[in-house]
Amino acid sequence: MKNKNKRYLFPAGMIISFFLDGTIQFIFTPQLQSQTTIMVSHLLLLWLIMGIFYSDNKHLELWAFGIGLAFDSYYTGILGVYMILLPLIVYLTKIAYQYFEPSFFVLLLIYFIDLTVLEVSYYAINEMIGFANESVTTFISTSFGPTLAFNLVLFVILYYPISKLMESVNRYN
Amino acid sequence: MQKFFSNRRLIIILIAIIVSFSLISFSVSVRNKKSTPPLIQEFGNDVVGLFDRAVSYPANGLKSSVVGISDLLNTYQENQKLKKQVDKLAQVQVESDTVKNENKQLKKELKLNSTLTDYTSINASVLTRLPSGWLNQLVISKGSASGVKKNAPVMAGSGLIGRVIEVNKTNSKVELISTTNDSANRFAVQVTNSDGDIVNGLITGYDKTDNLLIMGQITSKKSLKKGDAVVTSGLGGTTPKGLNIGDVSKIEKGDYGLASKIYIKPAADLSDLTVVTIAQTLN
Repeated sequence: MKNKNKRYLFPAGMIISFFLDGTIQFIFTPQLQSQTTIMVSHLLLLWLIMGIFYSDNKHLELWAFGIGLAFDSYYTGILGVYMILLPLIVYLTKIAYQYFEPSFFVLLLIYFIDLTVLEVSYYAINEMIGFANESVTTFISTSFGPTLAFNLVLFVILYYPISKLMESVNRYN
Repeated sequence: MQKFFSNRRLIIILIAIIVSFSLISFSVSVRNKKSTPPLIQEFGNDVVGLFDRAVSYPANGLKSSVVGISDLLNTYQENQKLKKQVDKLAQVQVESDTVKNENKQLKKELKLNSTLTDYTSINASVLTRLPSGWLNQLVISKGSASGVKKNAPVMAGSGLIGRVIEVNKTNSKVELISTTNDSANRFAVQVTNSDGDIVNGLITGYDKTDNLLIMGQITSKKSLKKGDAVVTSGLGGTTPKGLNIGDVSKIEKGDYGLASKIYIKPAADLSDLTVVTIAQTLN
Protein backbone atom coordinates (compact mmCIF):
# COMPACT_ATOMS: atom_id res chain seq x y z
CA MET A 1 0.00 0.00 0.00
CA LYS A 2 2.78 2.36 0.98
CA ASN A 3 4.68 1.65 -2.22
CA LYS A 4 1.60 2.17 -4.31
CA ASN A 5 0.95 5.61 -2.86
CA LYS A 6 4.51 6.70 -3.53
CA ARG A 7 4.06 6.17 -7.24
CA TYR A 8 1.72 9.15 -7.28
CA LEU A 9 4.30 11.64 -5.99
CA PHE A 10 5.60 12.61 -9.42
CA PRO A 11 2.25 13.31 -11.13
CA ALA A 12 0.88 14.99 -8.00
CA GLY A 13 3.87 17.31 -7.74
CA MET A 14 3.65 18.04 -11.44
CA ILE A 15 0.00 19.05 -11.19
CA ILE A 16 0.63 21.20 -8.13
CA SER A 17 3.53 23.02 -9.81
CA PHE A 18 1.33 23.47 -12.89
CA PHE A 19 -1.22 25.39 -10.82
CA LEU A 20 1.38 27.15 -8.70
CA ASP A 21 2.89 28.75 -11.82
CA GLY A 22 -0.39 30.54 -12.54
CA THR A 23 -1.14 31.33 -8.92
CA ILE A 24 2.31 32.84 -8.31
CA GLN A 25 1.94 34.93 -11.45
CA PHE A 26 -1.48 36.12 -10.30
CA ILE A 27 -0.75 36.86 -6.66
CA PHE A 28 2.60 38.54 -7.20
CA THR A 29 1.72 40.40 -10.40
CA PRO A 30 2.68 43.83 -9.01
CA GLN A 31 6.11 42.49 -7.97
CA LEU A 32 6.76 40.29 -11.01
CA GLN A 33 5.49 42.50 -13.81
CA SER A 34 6.60 46.11 -13.81
CA GLN A 35 7.30 48.48 -16.66
CA THR A 36 10.89 47.37 -17.10
CA THR A 37 10.92 43.75 -15.97
CA ILE A 38 8.66 40.78 -16.53
CA MET A 39 9.40 37.65 -14.52
CA VAL A 40 7.58 34.40 -15.24
CA SER A 41 7.72 31.39 -12.93
CA HIS A 42 8.55 28.01 -14.50
CA LEU A 43 8.09 25.62 -11.59
CA LEU A 44 6.56 23.04 -13.91
CA LEU A 45 9.75 22.85 -15.97
CA LEU A 46 11.80 22.68 -12.76
CA TRP A 47 9.76 19.69 -11.55
CA LEU A 48 10.12 17.89 -14.88
CA ILE A 49 13.89 18.41 -15.03
CA MET A 50 14.32 17.25 -11.43
CA GLY A 51 12.17 14.26 -12.36
CA ILE A 52 14.61 13.23 -15.09
CA PHE A 53 17.54 13.09 -12.67
CA TYR A 54 16.02 12.02 -9.39
CA SER A 55 12.81 10.10 -10.04
CA ASP A 56 12.60 6.65 -11.60
CA ASN A 57 9.65 7.58 -13.76
CA LYS A 58 10.14 6.03 -17.20
CA HIS A 59 7.55 7.87 -19.28
CA LEU A 60 8.52 11.49 -18.69
CA GLU A 61 7.97 12.57 -22.31
CA LEU A 62 4.39 11.34 -22.12
CA TRP A 63 3.76 13.15 -18.83
CA ALA A 64 5.31 16.31 -20.29
CA PHE A 65 3.11 15.97 -23.36
CA GLY A 66 -0.04 15.60 -21.26
CA ILE A 67 0.69 18.48 -18.91
CA GLY A 68 1.79 20.65 -21.85
CA LEU A 69 -1.51 20.03 -23.59
CA ALA A 70 -3.39 20.95 -20.39
CA PHE A 71 -1.27 24.09 -20.08
CA ASP A 72 -2.09 25.21 -23.61
CA SER A 73 -5.77 24.49 -23.26
CA TYR A 74 -6.30 25.94 -19.78
CA TYR A 75 -3.98 28.95 -19.74
CA THR A 76 -3.55 30.24 -23.28
CA GLY A 77 -6.15 28.55 -25.47
CA ILE A 78 -3.54 28.12 -28.22
CA LEU A 79 -2.92 24.37 -28.53
CA GLY A 80 0.40 22.95 -29.61
CA VAL A 81 2.95 25.28 -27.98
CA TYR A 82 3.87 23.77 -24.60
CA MET A 83 2.54 20.49 -25.95
CA ILE A 84 5.62 20.20 -28.16
CA LEU A 85 8.15 22.31 -26.23
CA LEU A 86 7.98 20.42 -22.92
CA PRO A 87 8.42 16.86 -24.31
CA LEU A 88 11.18 18.09 -26.64
CA ILE A 89 13.08 19.69 -23.75
CA VAL A 90 12.61 16.55 -21.63
CA TYR A 91 13.89 14.40 -24.50
CA LEU A 92 16.98 16.55 -25.05
CA THR A 93 17.71 16.68 -21.32
CA LYS A 94 17.45 12.89 -21.12
CA ILE A 95 20.16 12.66 -23.76
CA ALA A 96 22.35 15.05 -21.80
CA TYR A 97 21.65 13.01 -18.65
CA GLN A 98 23.59 10.06 -20.05
CA TYR A 99 26.82 12.05 -19.98
CA PHE A 100 26.62 13.57 -16.50
CA GLU A 101 26.49 12.54 -12.88
CA PRO A 102 23.65 14.50 -11.28
CA SER A 103 24.93 17.19 -8.93
CA PHE A 104 23.83 20.65 -7.93
CA PHE A 105 26.00 22.55 -10.40
CA VAL A 106 25.42 20.21 -13.33
CA LEU A 107 21.68 20.54 -12.85
CA LEU A 108 21.91 24.30 -12.48
CA LEU A 109 23.65 24.55 -15.85
CA ILE A 110 21.28 22.12 -17.55
CA TYR A 111 18.28 23.94 -16.11
CA PHE A 112 19.76 27.20 -17.36
CA ILE A 113 20.00 25.81 -20.89
CA ASP A 114 16.48 24.34 -20.73
CA LEU A 115 15.03 27.64 -19.56
CA THR A 116 16.76 29.40 -22.43
CA VAL A 117 15.38 26.94 -24.96
CA LEU A 118 11.87 27.22 -23.53
CA GLU A 119 11.78 31.01 -23.28
CA VAL A 120 13.34 31.70 -26.67
CA SER A 121 11.23 29.21 -28.59
CA TYR A 122 8.09 30.34 -26.75
CA TYR A 123 8.89 33.91 -27.75
CA ALA A 124 9.61 32.87 -31.35
CA ILE A 125 6.27 31.05 -31.67
CA ASN A 126 4.33 33.95 -30.16
CA GLU A 127 6.13 36.41 -32.40
CA MET A 128 5.26 34.24 -35.40
CA ILE A 129 1.53 34.19 -34.69
CA GLY A 130 1.43 37.88 -33.81
CA PHE A 131 0.81 37.58 -30.06
CA ALA A 132 4.09 39.06 -28.91
CA ASN A 133 4.73 42.51 -30.23
CA GLU A 134 8.18 43.41 -29.00
CA SER A 135 11.60 43.48 -30.58
CA VAL A 136 14.26 40.90 -29.78
CA THR A 137 16.28 43.43 -27.76
CA THR A 138 13.35 44.40 -25.53
CA PHE A 139 12.51 40.72 -25.11
CA ILE A 140 16.02 39.93 -23.91
CA SER A 141 16.30 42.89 -21.56
CA THR A 142 12.79 43.05 -20.09
CA SER A 143 11.54 39.48 -20.13
CA PHE A 144 14.26 36.91 -20.81
CA GLY A 145 16.96 38.11 -18.41
CA PRO A 146 14.75 38.70 -15.36
CA THR A 147 12.90 35.41 -15.94
CA LEU A 148 16.18 33.47 -16.03
CA ALA A 149 17.40 35.14 -12.85
CA PHE A 150 14.12 34.58 -11.02
CA ASN A 151 13.92 30.90 -11.95
CA LEU A 152 17.54 30.19 -11.10
CA VAL A 153 16.92 31.65 -7.65
CA LEU A 154 13.89 29.38 -7.32
CA PHE A 155 16.08 26.46 -8.40
CA VAL A 156 18.69 27.21 -5.75
CA ILE A 157 16.01 27.34 -3.07
CA LEU A 158 14.09 24.27 -4.20
CA TYR A 159 16.90 21.94 -5.34
CA TYR A 160 17.56 20.18 -2.03
CA PRO A 161 13.94 19.75 -0.89
CA ILE A 162 12.81 18.36 -4.25
CA SER A 163 15.80 16.07 -4.83
CA LYS A 164 15.54 14.63 -1.30
CA LEU A 165 11.80 14.13 -1.71
CA MET A 166 12.18 12.29 -5.02
CA GLU A 167 15.06 10.14 -3.81
CA SER A 168 13.21 9.11 -0.67
CA VAL A 169 10.42 7.78 -2.83
CA ASN A 170 12.74 5.82 -5.14
CA ARG A 171 14.60 3.92 -2.46
CA TYR A 172 11.74 1.63 -1.56
CA ASN A 173 10.74 0.68 -5.07
CA MET B 1 25.90 11.54 -32.44
CA GLN B 2 24.00 9.01 -34.54
CA LYS B 3 22.28 7.91 -31.33
CA PHE B 4 20.69 11.37 -31.01
CA PHE B 5 18.64 11.18 -34.13
CA SER B 6 18.12 7.63 -35.20
CA ASN B 7 15.69 7.36 -38.09
CA ARG B 8 12.68 6.40 -36.03
CA ARG B 9 13.23 9.16 -33.45
CA LEU B 10 13.72 11.73 -36.17
CA ILE B 11 10.46 10.82 -37.85
CA ILE B 12 8.57 10.96 -34.56
CA ILE B 13 10.00 14.40 -33.79
CA LEU B 14 9.18 15.70 -37.27
CA ILE B 15 5.62 14.43 -37.09
CA ALA B 16 5.20 15.98 -33.63
CA ILE B 17 6.43 19.34 -34.92
CA ILE B 18 4.10 19.23 -37.92
CA VAL B 19 1.13 18.28 -35.73
CA SER B 20 1.88 21.02 -33.25
CA PHE B 21 2.22 23.69 -35.93
CA SER B 22 -1.07 22.71 -37.51
CA LEU B 23 -2.70 22.78 -34.05
CA ILE B 24 -1.29 26.25 -33.42
CA SER B 25 -2.63 27.61 -36.70
CA PHE B 26 -5.96 25.89 -36.06
CA SER B 27 -6.27 27.46 -32.59
CA VAL B 28 -5.34 30.92 -33.84
CA SER B 29 -7.81 30.76 -36.72
CA VAL B 30 -10.78 29.65 -34.60
CA ARG B 31 -9.94 31.93 -31.67
CA ASN B 32 -12.21 34.80 -32.68
CA LYS B 33 -15.17 32.67 -33.71
CA LYS B 34 -18.28 32.35 -31.58
CA SER B 35 -18.37 28.58 -31.30
CA THR B 36 -14.95 27.94 -29.79
CA PRO B 37 -13.64 26.15 -27.81
CA PRO B 38 -14.43 22.64 -29.09
CA LEU B 39 -16.50 20.53 -26.70
CA ILE B 40 -13.65 18.26 -25.59
CA GLN B 41 -11.39 21.20 -24.83
CA GLU B 42 -14.20 22.89 -22.92
CA PHE B 43 -14.72 19.77 -20.81
CA GLY B 44 -10.99 19.47 -20.15
CA ASN B 45 -10.75 23.11 -19.11
CA ASP B 46 -13.65 22.66 -16.70
CA VAL B 47 -11.95 19.70 -15.03
CA VAL B 48 -8.63 21.57 -14.77
CA GLY B 49 -10.42 24.65 -13.45
CA LEU B 50 -12.04 22.57 -10.73
CA PHE B 51 -8.61 21.48 -9.45
CA ASP B 52 -7.28 25.03 -9.78
CA ARG B 53 -9.84 26.20 -7.22
CA ALA B 54 -8.21 23.95 -4.61
CA VAL B 55 -4.89 25.76 -5.16
CA SER B 56 -6.04 29.30 -5.88
CA TYR B 57 -8.66 29.84 -3.17
CA PRO B 58 -6.27 29.27 -0.23
CA ALA B 59 -3.63 31.38 -1.99
CA ASN B 60 -6.10 34.20 -2.57
CA GLY B 61 -7.19 34.00 1.06
CA LEU B 62 -3.57 34.37 2.13
CA LYS B 63 -3.13 37.34 -0.15
CA SER B 64 -6.24 39.11 1.07
CA SER B 65 -5.25 38.64 4.71
CA VAL B 66 -1.83 40.20 4.03
CA VAL B 67 -3.50 43.07 2.20
CA GLY B 68 -5.96 43.33 5.10
CA ILE B 69 -3.17 43.93 7.60
CA SER B 70 -1.57 46.69 5.56
CA ASP B 71 -5.01 48.23 5.06
CA LEU B 72 -5.56 48.25 8.80
CA LEU B 73 -2.56 50.53 9.28
CA ASN B 74 -4.00 53.20 7.00
CA THR B 75 -7.50 52.99 8.39
CA TYR B 76 -7.63 56.18 10.42
CA GLN B 77 -6.53 58.57 7.70
CA GLU B 78 -8.70 56.88 5.16
CA ASN B 79 -11.71 57.03 7.44
CA GLN B 80 -11.41 60.81 7.78
CA LYS B 81 -11.21 61.25 4.03
CA LEU B 82 -14.06 58.89 3.33
CA LYS B 83 -16.41 60.50 5.84
CA LYS B 84 -16.34 63.68 3.82
CA GLN B 85 -17.15 61.80 0.61
CA VAL B 86 -19.98 59.73 2.05
CA ASP B 87 -22.27 62.72 2.59
CA LYS B 88 -21.89 63.75 -1.01
CA LEU B 89 -22.37 60.19 -2.23
CA ALA B 90 -25.72 59.67 -0.51
CA GLN B 91 -27.08 62.67 -2.32
CA VAL B 92 -25.73 61.51 -5.68
CA GLN B 93 -27.15 58.03 -5.08
CA VAL B 94 -30.69 59.36 -4.48
CA GLU B 95 -30.45 61.59 -7.50
CA SER B 96 -29.20 58.77 -9.73
CA ASP B 97 -31.97 56.45 -8.53
CA THR B 98 -34.63 59.01 -9.41
CA VAL B 99 -33.08 59.64 -12.80
CA LYS B 100 -32.82 55.90 -13.45
CA ASN B 101 -36.47 55.38 -12.61
CA GLU B 102 -37.51 58.28 -14.77
CA ASN B 103 -35.38 56.92 -17.58
CA LYS B 104 -37.07 53.54 -17.26
CA GLN B 105 -40.52 55.07 -17.39
CA LEU B 106 -39.66 57.21 -20.39
CA LYS B 107 -38.25 54.16 -22.17
CA LYS B 108 -41.49 52.32 -21.49
CA GLU B 109 -43.45 55.24 -22.86
CA LEU B 110 -41.34 55.14 -26.02
CA LYS B 111 -41.59 51.34 -26.18
CA LEU B 112 -37.79 51.00 -26.16
CA ASN B 113 -36.98 47.60 -24.74
CA SER B 114 -33.27 47.95 -24.43
CA THR B 115 -30.76 50.64 -25.28
CA LEU B 116 -27.01 50.65 -25.53
CA THR B 117 -26.55 51.43 -21.84
CA ASP B 118 -28.42 48.38 -20.52
CA TYR B 119 -26.44 45.46 -19.18
CA THR B 120 -26.55 42.82 -16.48
CA SER B 121 -23.50 42.33 -14.32
CA ILE B 122 -22.04 39.01 -13.23
CA ASN B 123 -19.41 38.92 -10.47
CA ALA B 124 -16.54 36.47 -10.63
CA SER B 125 -13.27 35.94 -8.82
CA VAL B 126 -9.97 35.55 -10.62
CA LEU B 127 -8.61 31.98 -10.50
CA THR B 128 -5.22 32.43 -12.09
CA ARG B 129 -3.10 34.46 -14.45
CA LEU B 130 -1.29 33.11 -17.48
CA PRO B 131 2.39 32.65 -16.64
CA SER B 132 3.71 34.51 -19.66
CA GLY B 133 5.26 37.88 -20.34
CA TRP B 134 3.12 39.28 -23.10
CA LEU B 135 -0.14 37.36 -23.31
CA ASN B 136 -2.04 39.18 -20.58
CA GLN B 137 -4.81 36.75 -19.77
CA LEU B 138 -6.77 35.76 -16.69
CA VAL B 139 -8.93 32.76 -15.91
CA ILE B 140 -12.07 33.70 -13.97
CA SER B 141 -14.44 31.52 -11.97
CA LYS B 142 -17.70 31.93 -13.91
CA GLY B 143 -18.66 30.44 -17.25
CA SER B 144 -21.59 29.77 -19.51
CA ALA B 145 -23.49 28.13 -16.62
CA SER B 146 -23.71 31.60 -15.02
CA GLY B 147 -24.60 33.33 -18.28
CA VAL B 148 -21.19 34.59 -19.39
CA LYS B 149 -20.94 35.04 -23.15
CA LYS B 150 -17.99 35.42 -25.44
CA ASN B 151 -16.81 38.99 -26.15
CA ALA B 152 -18.48 40.44 -23.05
CA PRO B 153 -16.48 43.32 -21.51
CA VAL B 154 -14.99 42.82 -18.05
CA MET B 155 -14.71 45.52 -15.37
CA ALA B 156 -12.75 45.67 -12.12
CA GLY B 157 -12.93 48.37 -9.48
CA SER B 158 -13.61 51.57 -11.29
CA GLY B 159 -12.90 50.73 -14.89
CA LEU B 160 -12.79 48.40 -17.85
CA ILE B 161 -10.02 45.80 -17.85
CA GLY B 162 -10.66 43.52 -20.81
CA ARG B 163 -12.86 41.16 -22.72
CA VAL B 164 -13.99 37.54 -22.39
CA ILE B 165 -12.29 35.50 -25.14
CA GLU B 166 -13.22 31.95 -24.25
CA VAL B 167 -16.15 30.53 -22.31
CA ASN B 168 -16.24 27.09 -20.70
CA LYS B 169 -19.03 25.74 -18.50
CA THR B 170 -17.59 26.88 -15.16
CA ASN B 171 -14.68 29.16 -16.03
CA SER B 172 -13.69 31.54 -18.78
CA LYS B 173 -10.66 33.39 -20.08
CA VAL B 174 -10.27 37.15 -20.11
CA GLU B 175 -7.86 39.00 -22.38
CA LEU B 176 -6.72 42.20 -20.67
CA ILE B 177 -7.01 45.53 -22.44
CA SER B 178 -3.21 45.82 -22.25
CA THR B 179 -2.68 42.88 -24.62
CA THR B 180 -0.20 43.18 -27.46
CA ASN B 181 -2.06 40.61 -29.53
CA ASP B 182 -2.53 41.93 -33.07
CA SER B 183 -5.78 40.07 -33.69
CA ALA B 184 -7.53 41.01 -30.43
CA ASN B 185 -10.96 42.60 -30.57
CA ARG B 186 -10.79 46.34 -30.02
CA PHE B 187 -13.01 48.51 -27.84
CA ALA B 188 -14.96 51.38 -29.41
CA VAL B 189 -14.57 54.37 -27.11
CA GLN B 190 -15.49 58.04 -26.95
CA VAL B 191 -14.05 61.11 -25.24
CA THR B 192 -16.27 63.96 -24.12
CA ASN B 193 -14.56 67.35 -23.74
CA SER B 194 -15.62 70.25 -21.56
CA ASP B 195 -17.85 71.72 -24.30
CA GLY B 196 -19.78 68.46 -24.54
CA ASP B 197 -18.32 67.53 -27.93
CA ILE B 198 -17.77 63.83 -28.51
CA VAL B 199 -14.74 62.30 -30.21
CA ASN B 200 -15.03 58.64 -31.25
CA GLY B 201 -12.20 56.18 -31.70
CA LEU B 202 -10.80 52.76 -30.92
CA ILE B 203 -8.38 51.45 -28.30
CA THR B 204 -5.59 50.39 -30.62
CA GLY B 205 -2.69 49.60 -28.35
CA TYR B 206 -0.91 49.81 -25.05
CA ASP B 207 2.14 51.80 -24.06
CA LYS B 208 4.02 49.44 -21.73
CA THR B 209 6.61 51.89 -20.42
CA ASP B 210 4.07 54.41 -19.11
CA ASN B 211 1.11 52.05 -18.55
CA LEU B 212 -1.12 54.05 -20.87
CA LEU B 213 -3.75 52.90 -23.34
CA ILE B 214 -3.48 54.28 -26.87
CA MET B 215 -6.60 55.48 -28.68
CA GLY B 216 -6.39 55.69 -32.44
CA GLN B 217 -8.72 55.81 -35.44
CA ILE B 218 -10.01 59.16 -34.22
CA THR B 219 -12.91 60.61 -36.16
CA SER B 220 -12.77 64.35 -35.54
CA LYS B 221 -10.42 67.22 -34.80
CA LYS B 222 -12.25 68.69 -31.83
CA SER B 223 -9.93 69.90 -29.14
CA LEU B 224 -9.43 67.72 -26.08
CA LYS B 225 -7.75 68.45 -22.79
CA LYS B 226 -5.83 66.39 -20.28
CA GLY B 227 -8.29 64.85 -17.83
CA ASP B 228 -11.28 64.50 -20.20
CA ALA B 229 -13.22 61.32 -19.40
CA VAL B 230 -13.07 58.30 -21.72
CA VAL B 231 -15.94 55.77 -21.79
CA THR B 232 -17.05 52.99 -24.11
CA SER B 233 -19.26 54.22 -26.92
CA GLY B 234 -21.46 51.14 -27.31
CA LEU B 235 -20.80 51.10 -31.06
CA GLY B 236 -20.29 47.62 -32.43
CA GLY B 237 -22.92 46.02 -30.25
CA THR B 238 -20.96 43.71 -27.95
CA THR B 239 -20.05 46.38 -25.39
CA PRO B 240 -22.61 48.46 -23.49
CA LYS B 241 -22.33 52.23 -23.61
CA GLY B 242 -20.87 54.26 -20.78
CA LEU B 243 -18.38 51.90 -19.11
CA ASN B 244 -15.57 53.92 -17.57
CA ILE B 245 -12.10 53.42 -19.06
CA GLY B 246 -10.04 56.31 -17.70
CA ASP B 247 -9.06 59.83 -18.59
CA VAL B 248 -6.93 61.52 -21.22
CA SER B 249 -3.29 61.71 -20.20
CA LYS B 250 -1.65 63.24 -23.26
CA ILE B 251 -2.39 63.93 -26.91
CA GLU B 252 0.07 63.35 -29.70
CA LYS B 253 -0.11 64.39 -33.33
CA GLY B 254 0.23 61.29 -35.49
CA ASP B 255 2.45 60.62 -38.47
CA TYR B 256 2.13 63.06 -41.39
CA GLY B 257 -0.29 65.19 -39.29
CA LEU B 258 -3.21 63.02 -40.35
CA ALA B 259 -4.63 61.48 -37.21
CA SER B 260 -3.71 62.12 -33.63
CA LYS B 261 -3.10 59.57 -30.92
CA ILE B 262 -4.67 59.96 -27.51
CA TYR B 263 -3.01 58.37 -24.49
CA ILE B 264 -5.42 57.25 -21.79
CA LYS B 265 -4.61 56.58 -18.15
CA PRO B 266 -6.70 53.50 -17.27
CA ALA B 267 -8.93 53.82 -14.21
CA ALA B 268 -8.47 50.20 -13.15
CA ASP B 269 -5.20 48.80 -11.83
CA LEU B 270 -4.43 46.01 -14.31
CA SER B 271 -1.80 44.35 -12.15
CA ASP B 272 -3.87 43.89 -9.01
CA LEU B 273 -7.10 42.09 -9.76
CA THR B 274 -8.97 39.71 -7.49
CA VAL B 275 -12.65 40.24 -8.24
CA VAL B 276 -14.04 41.22 -11.62
CA THR B 277 -17.48 42.08 -13.01
CA ILE B 278 -18.67 40.95 -16.41
CA ALA B 279 -20.96 43.48 -18.09
CA GLN B 280 -23.24 41.39 -20.26
CA THR B 281 -25.35 43.20 -22.87
CA LEU B 282 -28.98 42.11 -22.81
CA ASN B 283 -29.56 41.37 -26.49
